[in-house]
Amino acid sequence: MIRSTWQRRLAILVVAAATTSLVACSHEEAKQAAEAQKCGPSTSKPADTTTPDDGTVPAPNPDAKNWGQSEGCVYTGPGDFTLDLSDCPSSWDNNAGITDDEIRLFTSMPHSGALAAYGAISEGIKTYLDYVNRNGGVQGRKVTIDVKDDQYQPDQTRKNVEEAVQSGDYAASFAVLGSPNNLNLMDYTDKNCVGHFMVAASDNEFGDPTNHPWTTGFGLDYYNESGIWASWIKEKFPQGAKVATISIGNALGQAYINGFKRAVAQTDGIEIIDEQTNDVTAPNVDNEVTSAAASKADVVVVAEAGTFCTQAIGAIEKSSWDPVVVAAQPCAQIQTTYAPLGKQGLTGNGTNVVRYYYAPTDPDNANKEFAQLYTDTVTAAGLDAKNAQIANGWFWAWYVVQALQDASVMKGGLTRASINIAAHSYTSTYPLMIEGVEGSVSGTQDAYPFEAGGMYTYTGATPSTTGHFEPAGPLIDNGGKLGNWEKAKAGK
Amino acid sequence: MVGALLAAFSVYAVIDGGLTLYLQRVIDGATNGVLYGMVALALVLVFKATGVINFAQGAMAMVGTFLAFTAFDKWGLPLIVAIIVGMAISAVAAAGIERTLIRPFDPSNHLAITIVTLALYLAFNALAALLWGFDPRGFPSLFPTGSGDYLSIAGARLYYTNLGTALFVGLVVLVLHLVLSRARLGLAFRCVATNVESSRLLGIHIGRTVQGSWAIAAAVGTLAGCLAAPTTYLDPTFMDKILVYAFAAATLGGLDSIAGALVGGVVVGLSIALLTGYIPVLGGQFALGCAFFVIIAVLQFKPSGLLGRRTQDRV
Repeated sequence: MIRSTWQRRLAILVVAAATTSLVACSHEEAKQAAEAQKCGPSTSKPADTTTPDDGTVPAPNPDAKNWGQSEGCVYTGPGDFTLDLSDCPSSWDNNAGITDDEIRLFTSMPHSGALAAYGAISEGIKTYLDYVNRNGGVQGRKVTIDVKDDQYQPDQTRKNVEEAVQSGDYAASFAVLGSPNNLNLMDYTDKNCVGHFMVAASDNEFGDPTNHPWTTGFGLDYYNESGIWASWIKEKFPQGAKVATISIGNALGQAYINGFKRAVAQTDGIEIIDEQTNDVTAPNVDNEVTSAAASKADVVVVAEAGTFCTQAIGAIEKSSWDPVVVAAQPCAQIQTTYAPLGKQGLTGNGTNVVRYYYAPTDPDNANKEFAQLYTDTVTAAGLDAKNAQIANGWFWAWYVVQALQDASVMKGGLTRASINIAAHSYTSTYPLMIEGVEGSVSGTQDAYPFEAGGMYTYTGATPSTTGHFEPAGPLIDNGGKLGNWEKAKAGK
Repeated sequence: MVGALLAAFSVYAVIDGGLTLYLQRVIDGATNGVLYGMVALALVLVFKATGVINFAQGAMAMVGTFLAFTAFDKWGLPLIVAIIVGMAISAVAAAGIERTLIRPFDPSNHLAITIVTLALYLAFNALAALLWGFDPRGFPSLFPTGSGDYLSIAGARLYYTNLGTALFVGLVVLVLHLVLSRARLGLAFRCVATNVESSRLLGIHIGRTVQGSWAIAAAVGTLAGCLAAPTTYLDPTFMDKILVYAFAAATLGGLDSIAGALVGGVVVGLSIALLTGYIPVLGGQFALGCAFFVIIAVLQFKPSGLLGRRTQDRV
């Protein structure tokens, strides 16, 4: 029994000190646990497997072992890329969506509505991932992807992504489709440290690792494509060329024209003498073609999409103007752009487009074995192997598998942070790439994966039969020149 | 005054870009204008009989054009027969729609009927996407379409397909104008649109009259679609783009005037081609603004349109 006042005070002091130290200890432990959850290495261990060496599944990049967790919450990769997880939400888990035997991804695409056809990309992704999983997965882990329908509505895309993030079930998002849909996500994914990788949109804004370290773009971006046009025009017209442009009046057309102007400013001898822009609600582009024809330009750049591609190419062919026609990627599909011309007695022959990888069904593709693997796998899954979007899905899926392979061998093992580093540092050649083209990014210094391509001329069509593409010159490689969005928008 | 302004503009245009360019722009504008006018005609037909604008007119025409395309491409019918089949199916379907979805509503309740037409617009678009997908398709022309099939007018090219389409549309307008101005059917249309109760007392069968207008409008709309599709190409959205300009054309020509629809269409087409061509600051993106401007200006200063009948309400 404590009787005196000083004894009672001393006892209280001792108890208080003990309680404080206990609380401090447990707080420190909780803090350490939270930091380990947020920044720590991989907590799962997959079974040992080997990657097939027949070139059908990408192998880890040997250099990837040098990257990954650097110190505490800091992860580093090549090209001056550093990722600091300290600012991520307190409950953020570096191992969410990653277990001993599974890596869970999610995506959002239109599976209903006007652009539902693009949703087939996810079918392609799934069939390739299934193939990889049947062959040992990614360093022993199977890769799965959950797909949500957004009808190409940016608000719905955002809602889908938010739900996926709040579930805590996924390692990252991948191949979310659409320019406005992805632009509407970048701030959210940065704030919540959510991987928003290899988006299915070609805007150059997605190549901005410094300001948006959780987002990466994919495919041939608008600036690089229009840069290839400028290089090719310069080669074709060494004495100089006057160019007219016809573009769709939306963000797509504007991005192409901005990129082309940037490239023209850096190329001697090319001058843009006429610019025509059609309203997206215009019934046809006859007025724009007539105005562009009046410029008598040597070359016309058609930066259109959908039916406008066919209308513009047809109207140019019917006019008295005979320019060299250069058309953007949305105008490169034979069945949708060129085949409809036949009923008007037109062909589209002579139109030039950039190609950087083959569709498996292209007769001129160089890797028949991989094309056959694609056809067999997709057909066995009950899908149409001729569907270009399914083929695109394989292209996308190859590169996410590459990034996951690289992340698996990084320092600290496979975590959400190392996947981020890998998505900013891969070098890989998809088996159906046009010879000389590879997909390569390097941190902040090179954020655009595809910067080379060849110009191909559509030829051999008659009003009753479609034609094919033939090379219109050597490969044009602008690798590493564009750098990143900050550099690109400054016109450097 | 207007004539003098047009003449002055034409002189400026020829000096600015040469005669060939001017003529080519006139041809482009008039060609597009004829198509706007043809769709405007379908709008006018329904309006004349019901006093309501059918917002599903373009979508119905699109489905009818797809039917004609299917008859030609899949069933192997000659093009002219395929178009007639498309028009006939459209007319029967439109009559059925009128009977089941429009007639249950009070004919004088224009708002309810307008809402139904908006619902039909969405339904037809969804149906077309489901049946035919979104890939654009080439549609054959009734007239020669080769790259060498044109008349050269001072260097400008007038393709036979455009010329033939314009003449054909002119003929259709003439026939419809005669039928609706000289025949009892036209009188019944006007009577029902003016006063439903009086029409009923006069012995006019309201339902059949309105049903007739829907059927004829659908057939004309399908014909318009079949004439437009060779240049716009065929996909589920192709008539939406024309419909906006057709609204402007119908408003300009007079919502109750058959000939006015065609005149309005040509004026709208020419305005867009010449204004966006010769005033560079406007650019092609002004086309929709041009249509909007026409609608607002006509409603503000001449609500009856160029050839429409002025109405007066007794108070």
